[in-house]
Amino acid sequence: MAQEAVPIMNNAGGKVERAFIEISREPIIPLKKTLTVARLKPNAWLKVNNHKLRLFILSLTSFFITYIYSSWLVVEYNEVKQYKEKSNYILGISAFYHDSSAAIIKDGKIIAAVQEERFSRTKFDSSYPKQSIDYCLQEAKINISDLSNIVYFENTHLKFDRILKTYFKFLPKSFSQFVKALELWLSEKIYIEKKISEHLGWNKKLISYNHHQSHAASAFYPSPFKESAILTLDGVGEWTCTSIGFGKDNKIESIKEIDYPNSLGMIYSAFTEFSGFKVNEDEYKLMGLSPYGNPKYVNKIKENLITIFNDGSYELNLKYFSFQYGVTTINKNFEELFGVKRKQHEDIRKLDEDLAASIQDIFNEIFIKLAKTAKKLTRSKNLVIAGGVGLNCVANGKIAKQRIFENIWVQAAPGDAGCSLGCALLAYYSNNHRQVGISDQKSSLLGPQYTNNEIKNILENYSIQYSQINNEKDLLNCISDYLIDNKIIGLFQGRMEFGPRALGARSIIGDPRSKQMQTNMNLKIKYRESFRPFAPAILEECLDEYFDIFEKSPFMSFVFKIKDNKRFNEVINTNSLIDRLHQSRSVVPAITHVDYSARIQTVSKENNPLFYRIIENFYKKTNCPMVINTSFNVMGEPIVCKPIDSLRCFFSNEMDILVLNNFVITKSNQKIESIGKITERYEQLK
Amino acid sequence: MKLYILNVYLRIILFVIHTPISLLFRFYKINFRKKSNFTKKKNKIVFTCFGLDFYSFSSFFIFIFFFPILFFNSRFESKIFCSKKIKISETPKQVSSLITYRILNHLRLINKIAMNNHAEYHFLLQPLLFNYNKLSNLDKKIISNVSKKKFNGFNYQDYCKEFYKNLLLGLKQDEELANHYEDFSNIFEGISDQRFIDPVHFGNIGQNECAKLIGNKIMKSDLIKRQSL
Repeated sequence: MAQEAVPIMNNAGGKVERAFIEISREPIIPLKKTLTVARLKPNAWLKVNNHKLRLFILSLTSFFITYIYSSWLVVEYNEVKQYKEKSNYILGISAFYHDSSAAIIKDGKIIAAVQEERFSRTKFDSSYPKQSIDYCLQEAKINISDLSNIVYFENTHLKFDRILKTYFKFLPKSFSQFVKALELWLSEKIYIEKKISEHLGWNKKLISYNHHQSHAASAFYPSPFKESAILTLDGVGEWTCTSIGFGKDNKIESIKEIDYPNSLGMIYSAFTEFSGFKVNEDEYKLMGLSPYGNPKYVNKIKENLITIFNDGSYELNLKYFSFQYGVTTINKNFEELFGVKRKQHEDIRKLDEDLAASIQDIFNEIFIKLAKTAKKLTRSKNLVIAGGVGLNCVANGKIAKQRIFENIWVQAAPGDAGCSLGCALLAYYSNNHRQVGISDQKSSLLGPQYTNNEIKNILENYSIQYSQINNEKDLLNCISDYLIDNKIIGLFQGRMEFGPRALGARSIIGDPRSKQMQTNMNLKIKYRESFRPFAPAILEECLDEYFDIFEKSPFMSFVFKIKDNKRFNEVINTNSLIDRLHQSRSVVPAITHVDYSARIQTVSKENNPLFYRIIENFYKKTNCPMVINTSFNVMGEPIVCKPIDSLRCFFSNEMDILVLNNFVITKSNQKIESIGKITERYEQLK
Repeated sequence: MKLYILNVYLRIILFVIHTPISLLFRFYKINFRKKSNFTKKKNKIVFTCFGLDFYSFSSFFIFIFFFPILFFNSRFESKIFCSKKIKISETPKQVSSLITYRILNHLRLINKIAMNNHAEYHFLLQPLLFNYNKLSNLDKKIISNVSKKKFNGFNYQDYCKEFYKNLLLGLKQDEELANHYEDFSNIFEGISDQRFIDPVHFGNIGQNECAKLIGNKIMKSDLIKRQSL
């Protein structure tokens, strides 16, 4: 029939009409005929006078299209459903102790991980990570019912066992703390897994692993190693405070452990408290203070507070501590040994600097000894590190320098936040084979991101003046020019970092060649202690040019020294902290600490492409392959998460420029009222 | 069930039973000389009771008097899933922008009421000690005393200066309010006598100066002209 129709169709007028009539005479119109009609020129078939036929053809065509479309939808829906059913989604939760978080993985691949503090805006928030869980599910585009497992990061009953025994042992000193702990545990925490399940509407059993197992998993599975020694160090988990383990393929084994109350985290917290900083929060400040001091109390500490054995194990002299039974970490004996502890608002003393240097020396010694023992026990050429004490990048750097292991990898979120990721991975690899790279953490950019449209809406809602630069090259040039002009820039780009460090997605950046930059950034931007150093983010291929580096450091996990040829040798010796701070020590003074060290972030093209291009563009213009990189927040607040957080932070200090995706915001021409409106919004949340 | 009943129960048990036993154990403590402090606990569950895993008999015996509380566990008010209010820092810029925003809103309201009632008004920014460069000894003493106290790590002075800066800018930026304010923040410049008694209050000399200026302002205003008509 089609063959007959073609010559007729090519003719004009009534012949075409006839052709239709002929087709319509067929008893059943087959599919071929319909297609023939569809091939007719529109102006031709409109001339058909038979309305019934026209209606019939139209209905048939619509039916055909609807049928195909609906079948496609059904197939698509089934495929998505099957895909979801086949996919192994696991949600990990870390909560109720320190720095709550949630993480989600799919078939071993990390989809999202985020700390609750970023949403709740309360630093080190330990509460139930509701918003983090919601975000993880949203990022994975699933509901609770699509999950294969929910995993909790620690064994609550084993932890309760430790609490019972420890407080019992120290009665009557521990009486009031024992009452408080029992009250909390018996009323809330004892059946926590059950309560979380009920709260989430999860019908299956919630899996839980030991705290240090979660730490070990968070370090080993995302690492680039097939087998590795594992070192976990933190305050305390259930019983374990330090552990040496071994990971191979999908198996993790703990070889040796040191139990509570012998805790490296606790002894460091004790010195943090003595130096007037906040326990469980400000330990990194003590680490930053250590290069200013002389380690002259090392022997005194070893004689009185801690016994270090040759294998790296250690034992605390509990006579000087009160964390086992009280709210504080140190007691009167500690103060008798070293003097009165500093109050928070008081100036930093020489004693604090020297004690910081001494405890850091002791930490370095323990870290190196533990690493040697780990090497001896595992014979591995790789080492992975996790646990809150793993944030001590000075000690990490010392291990790397000793070349005990060929490769070292430190988890980006070594603290308790990382446990959510660890426990989820542990649950997955307990039943699945592991291939290196599947659970790659890349640059740890695992948090939420915001589109240009979302940002534009916010800016317009609050009447913020902005300029939009859509061409990336122009944007990079704009950032570089501002940096060269000594401006301090808030950078808000793409997905937020998981872990305590800003790695280029929520960062404040500046020119490291500026002499005044460190002081300006500390006092006018971060509103924090002037002695605190800033970290450089440097292009990976330029590392050797500037630093004596022994390991790549994508998560700012290591401290290394600046090369001799980049140092200034004319340094005046003085005891004053401020005088020492204001001396230029290298060609990049803003990131060079008083001992010529720097906590380095190495930026690679593959893992952090946009941040790489920003630094690369700055490098092309200045011949300096690095920028200062510090977290986008003010003192006492967590790193910003949403665009509105970044706006609030931007207007709360002396920062010059804010770059939100493609939008560049300056402080001039902004209406005071717009800024007030943003602050008012947070006031309502208080 | 109220938590204080739990608290009383726990105190009695701990005081009467646990404390004496704990002291007794400590009395018999023996110390060994060690070469290492590494341990390798098995951490195996010894038994489970009421859904609670026990890893040793000793923890079971410590816990034995608390078992009755487990029956009431579900009746305790659960607070762990409640959302907390946020804790945010308040820098001088944040506080000042917030107060400025609120004051500007109030001023707009005043402006509207005044316009509706055909009334004239003036908003006066009062003198502030921190705005002066020439300071008397007493002024310096006042500032030094105020500086000792810090709010969120910042001086009172930082908040005040930032607030005045923001408010003046906000008033200038607002079309409606731009013609209805007067900046008196440094009207005492050039007067050598002591004017301030604290950063925002002034004594007789200051009050006289201020009153004169306010008087002049009213005299020049439409209000007087209209009344005289």
